[in-house]
Amino acid sequence: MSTENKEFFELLNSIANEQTFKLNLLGHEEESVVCKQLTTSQLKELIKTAVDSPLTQAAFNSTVTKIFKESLTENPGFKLNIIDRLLFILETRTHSLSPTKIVEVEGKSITISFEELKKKLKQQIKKNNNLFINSSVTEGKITISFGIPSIETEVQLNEELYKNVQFNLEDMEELRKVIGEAFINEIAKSLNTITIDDKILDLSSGTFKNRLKIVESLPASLIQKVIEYIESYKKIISDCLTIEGYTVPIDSTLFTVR
Amino acid sequence: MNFLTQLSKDTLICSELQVKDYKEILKCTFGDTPDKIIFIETVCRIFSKITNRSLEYIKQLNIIDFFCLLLDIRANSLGNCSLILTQNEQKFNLELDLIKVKQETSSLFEQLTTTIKHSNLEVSFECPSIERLMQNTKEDYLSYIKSSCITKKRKKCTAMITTNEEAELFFNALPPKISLEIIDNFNKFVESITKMNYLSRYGFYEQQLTFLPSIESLLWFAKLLFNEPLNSLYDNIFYLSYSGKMNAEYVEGLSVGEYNYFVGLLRQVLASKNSPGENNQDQTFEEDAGLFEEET
Repeated sequence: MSTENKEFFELLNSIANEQTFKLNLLGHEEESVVCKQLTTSQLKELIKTAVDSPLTQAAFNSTVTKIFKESLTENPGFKLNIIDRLLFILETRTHSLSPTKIVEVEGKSITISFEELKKKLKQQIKKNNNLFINSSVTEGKITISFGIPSIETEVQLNEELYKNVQFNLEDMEELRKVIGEAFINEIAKSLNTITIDDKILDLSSGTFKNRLKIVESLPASLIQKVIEYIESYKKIISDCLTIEGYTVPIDSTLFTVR
Repeated sequence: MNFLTQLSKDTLICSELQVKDYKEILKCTFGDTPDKIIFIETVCRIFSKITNRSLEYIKQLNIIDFFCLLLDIRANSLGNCSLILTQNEQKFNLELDLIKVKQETSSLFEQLTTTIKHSNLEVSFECPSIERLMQNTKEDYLSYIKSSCITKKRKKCTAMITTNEEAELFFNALPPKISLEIIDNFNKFVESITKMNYLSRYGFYEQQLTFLPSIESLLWFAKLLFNEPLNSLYDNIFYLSYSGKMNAEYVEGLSVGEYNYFVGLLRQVLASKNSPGENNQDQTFEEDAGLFEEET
């Protein structure tokens, strides 16, 4: 490559770094981060995840997490969670492609306004603030703390369990197994610490497989509290993403223009 | 006699095609699957000679200009192109007006040359050069990215994209709004070029004669435009030397028009010698290959 072109490419990259947007992270007491806009290379990576497993969405989640981290202009100083990532997805979609998308559902044309989705999410997160901050529950000597899963924990799950695994979802037996495992994984992702007497076990310090072993040994009543928590926040998110009865899928289709 | 050829950004003075170059074109397009590299190298060398421009200049011509130059050379050397078409099970002879073909093709260039602007970034999108089309590419639209310019603090920084590899690096670094516009422009161009049918002006709609911006299409048209069988050319050179007493080297240095004139003249002479009452040892020549242009 010629020297002129090298200089040009450096300038192009510097311009990309300057074209940023502010992302308000509602689960962190109105904290915000500055993100760079999506590049075409990153857009291609997202679209490639279209062949992802619809049950785990591991490839899409890993890719979008990687892009989210690359986009941050500086370290936020706190752990980012999957709601932060959802807000990033909606915001980067708006800034990098367009603020709306039209989908055809059963012959009906639905216009998705990402601004509207963000507005609904903001309102609901504010209204149900207790669901988006860490909580704890105690039974006997055991106290568990849980919250919205961090993106790091989800990366760990995808790397350890889902990477390079192909599911045959035509096979009912395998499908049942995958759904069961995905359910346990959701619970394990949400847990932060386990306290027994004065001893605190930080689950983020071990592997995801270890985390699963610990979850399996916890009393069912404690697990039930976590399930109720997950169901509550997921319902709020799902309602926010529903327009005219259509739930906007948070996957690669969000980034396709046709 | 020299002739002028008008390209998208330049006017070239061209010398006539010589028989030896004509022979090279027939050779490099010979067979069912001629080699693309040999074809391009041969034709570029001939074009460079005819136009008195460097080989680099010729290889950097966009493919539409290259095709127009090929049409002009054919039209000025051999005239229009005869085609045999079939419609409703009937055969028709059609003389394809190559100047009209050139005009239709040239008009496309304007449609596909555009500058995509977004904020302080500009991307020049243009029909690819022969050189770029010969390079491997993951996506066809990459070869259409010609240059880019960034204006920052009233200073302009320009990059000429000369390889598809550079184009890919550049494309990947672009904001998606621009890259999607590049793809849109490419799709619009493909749509307009595939709609164009050179036969529709003659009322033939079932058959398609369309030029696509690819080396394969260029090669296909070169075979159509220069369709004299190679053995016929060799035979004619032989007869012009043997019966016409013309030096073969001299024949190869003639323009194609002059060559055809002498072939015609020799045919007349041989025909008169073969007429009843004349006893000539050359009487069997008329029945042989050569001296008779074969129609395709």
